[in-house]
Amino acid sequence: MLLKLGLTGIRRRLADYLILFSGLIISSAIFYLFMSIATNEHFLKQNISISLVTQVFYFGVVLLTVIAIVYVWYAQSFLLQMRLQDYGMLLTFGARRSKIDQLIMIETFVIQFGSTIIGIIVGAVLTQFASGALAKMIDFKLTGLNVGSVTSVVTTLVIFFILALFCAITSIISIHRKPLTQIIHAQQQANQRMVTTNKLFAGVIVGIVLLAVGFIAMDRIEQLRLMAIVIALVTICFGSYLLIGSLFTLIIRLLRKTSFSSKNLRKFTMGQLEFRIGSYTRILTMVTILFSLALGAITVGTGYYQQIPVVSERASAYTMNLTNPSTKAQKLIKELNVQKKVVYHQISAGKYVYYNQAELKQQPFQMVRTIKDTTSVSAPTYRNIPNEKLIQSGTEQAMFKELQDPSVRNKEIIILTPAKFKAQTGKRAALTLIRVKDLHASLPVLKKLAKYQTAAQQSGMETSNGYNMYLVANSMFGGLEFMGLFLGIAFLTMLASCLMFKVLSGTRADQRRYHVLNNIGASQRQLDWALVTEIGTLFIIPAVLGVSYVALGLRMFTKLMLSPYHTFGMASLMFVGCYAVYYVVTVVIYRQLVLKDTKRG
Amino acid sequence: MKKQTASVIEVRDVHKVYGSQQTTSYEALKGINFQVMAGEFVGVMGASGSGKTTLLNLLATLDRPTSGVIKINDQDLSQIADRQLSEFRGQQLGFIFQDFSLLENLTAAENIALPLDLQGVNKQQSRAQVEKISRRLSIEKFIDQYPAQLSGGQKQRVAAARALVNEPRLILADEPTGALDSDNARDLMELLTQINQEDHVSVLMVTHDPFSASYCERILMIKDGQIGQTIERDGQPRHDFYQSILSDLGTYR
Repeated sequence: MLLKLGLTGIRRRLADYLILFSGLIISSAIFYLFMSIATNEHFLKQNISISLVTQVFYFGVVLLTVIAIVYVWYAQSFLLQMRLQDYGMLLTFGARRSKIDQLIMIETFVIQFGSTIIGIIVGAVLTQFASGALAKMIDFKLTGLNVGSVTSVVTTLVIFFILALFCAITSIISIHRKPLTQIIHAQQQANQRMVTTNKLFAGVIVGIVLLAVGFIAMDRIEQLRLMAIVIALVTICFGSYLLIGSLFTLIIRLLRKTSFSSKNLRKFTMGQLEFRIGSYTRILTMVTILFSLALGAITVGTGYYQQIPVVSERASAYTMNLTNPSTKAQKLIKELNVQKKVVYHQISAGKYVYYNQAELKQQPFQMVRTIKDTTSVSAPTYRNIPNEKLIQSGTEQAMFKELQDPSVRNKEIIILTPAKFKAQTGKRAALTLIRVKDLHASLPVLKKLAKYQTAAQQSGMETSNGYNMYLVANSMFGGLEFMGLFLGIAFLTMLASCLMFKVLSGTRADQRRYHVLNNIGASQRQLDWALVTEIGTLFIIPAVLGVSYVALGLRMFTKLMLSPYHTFGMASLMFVGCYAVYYVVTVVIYRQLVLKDTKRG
Repeated sequence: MKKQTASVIEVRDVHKVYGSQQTTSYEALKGINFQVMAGEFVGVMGASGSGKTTLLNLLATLDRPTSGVIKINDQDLSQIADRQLSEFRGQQLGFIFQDFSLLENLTAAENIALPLDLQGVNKQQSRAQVEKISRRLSIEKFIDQYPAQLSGGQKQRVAAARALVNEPRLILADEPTGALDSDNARDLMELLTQINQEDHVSVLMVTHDPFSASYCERILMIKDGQIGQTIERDGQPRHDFYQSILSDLGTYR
């Protein structure tokens, strides 16, 4: 009977439950995805060339567990808000509280466990495809990926089981505390805590000071070491909390007094926000921190992605060097988007290898010009090497010799006039040097062309050209890049869903408010706009703070990479784009839930 | 200078059917006809399920009749597009609800100003109008407080102020005294009478309560979706009218 009651509850509000269900699936899927990588030490060690990698991932797991707790908590309050009135009705009919407790237990477990199991399956599929696609996108070969690892299945199940139990128990306690009348008329009570404006000002100042301490600590990472991270995490968390809580209320309070507020439903929206901010400060702080961590991870990840070709292009003026390319190789070269292609004919005889002076004059050998600014990621510029440098021993000559076939490398270079070159006898060959315009774009063809390189080059023993340098850099940084992107995307999905649920769990109280507004003559457009701005503000606060935190925090990485800021704009844009999708989805669902009774006019 | 001739509400042969033809349909209103003249104070009484709320929803433009004509201030509601209905509501009607329907996250003053904000009235004018109506309803003292800080009677006064702030010609009241104690109910009914008489605002009030109804000039008794009986006050003192409503209610059932 009870099971039936619980399940009919689910059937009756299928749409609402679907939101809840899909949300929980996302959280457990991401959690599993993360676990399956974090617990796979073998995979991490093999793919990522940093000794700290497992610790970083464990740190990620702890953070993700914290988010999962908050997330499931909001999902549960969303569930409770839907069911509270039904429970009240059952209690009125004489159901014992213990029956209600059982009902809550059954519902919570059916929903949470069901979604966790589906989530694990989704997570496994995601692990396979997402990591595969990501690895492919960044041209990085993953080895030892284990999709269905027992450890991560068990961990995910255990953690979500504990969460479900925790949720069910807290729900039961919260229902036991409430008098029956409050359960039946489950209306959110507006308990306005009137904080004085002076206190708000104080909050803003303390918040800013704490943030400043945090960022200064991050800037001194070289002296403070790991302490910098600890100090920064604590002060930035508390600083954000104070800043969001007080600055935001302060701004709204001031705006409410201006004539800006007396148009359309602005005053209503501000009232909503001012009342809400109390219960939102915590989640907004959490989202801000996660937002900055995720964006930071993505920025650094894409930073490395950008950096790899730059490092490779700086290493050599030529992407590939081939001696006597076959017709097949010639064909492949034609497919490339070539910036420069030079062919030097050579004749090797005895201890010497001869070059044509005319050829070298017409298309001089080039080298990358060294630049003083170490943080620059601009495309390299090249300088021409005069012929006399090629016949003297030195870096220039060494560079040139490296590009030749190994069979002639030990021979002395001699440059002849065209007439003498023509008359010279010996083994004739052609050294072809190419430089592509876009290394990333040219990779598929370069890979095929690489088969025609010398044996030493193919085995990775030599990194004389840009392509080989790319291979080396990619195996070094690719893991970092993968980690950054992976962490970033996982956190983004979780945090945005978190915020979404927090917003959605407030629909019940809003339904009545929007109904009243509709009655007194607010048009559909005005209602929509009020909704869009209200939720928009809640989403924008962490985004703005998060982006600014990353802008400040990236200074920490200036020692570790060429230019951490280079990809910041692009990464932010991409990140904010994904985040915006969540915003739109939240608005659509919210609108559906809140305005369903006010379709008219 | 009452304009007794113009009708504020005109309802002709209005039917409202819920549910479709295929499924079991329920006819909540079965041919309702009545008029409310400018400056009249009309009550609508009836048992639960008699169709009172349906009628009020139709008059409030929150729902449309299945057939028949409803005119408010000589405008045929069926001629107004859905999009314009909210504007119409905002400009021509004032609402008072049993549960006050105040927004708890806005101060009393902000609640009152809301209909003006929705119509884009500028701040100075809006403030002037809010002040005027607040003085009129003697609520200036607590205008800056939030609804949670007000008593039931004060809340309903604020709600009345919100209904009146845009000077509508018609107030629709849905059990306005339903959540008030008898003293506050009396206050509110006297207030509505005063507004009705001094400002010539027409009032249509749905109520259960014979005491509140005794403030009306005319009472429409609805039963099973039809107007069964009309009780006229005809200049009786309120107490006498109250007695006659009570005896009519006794026989009517």
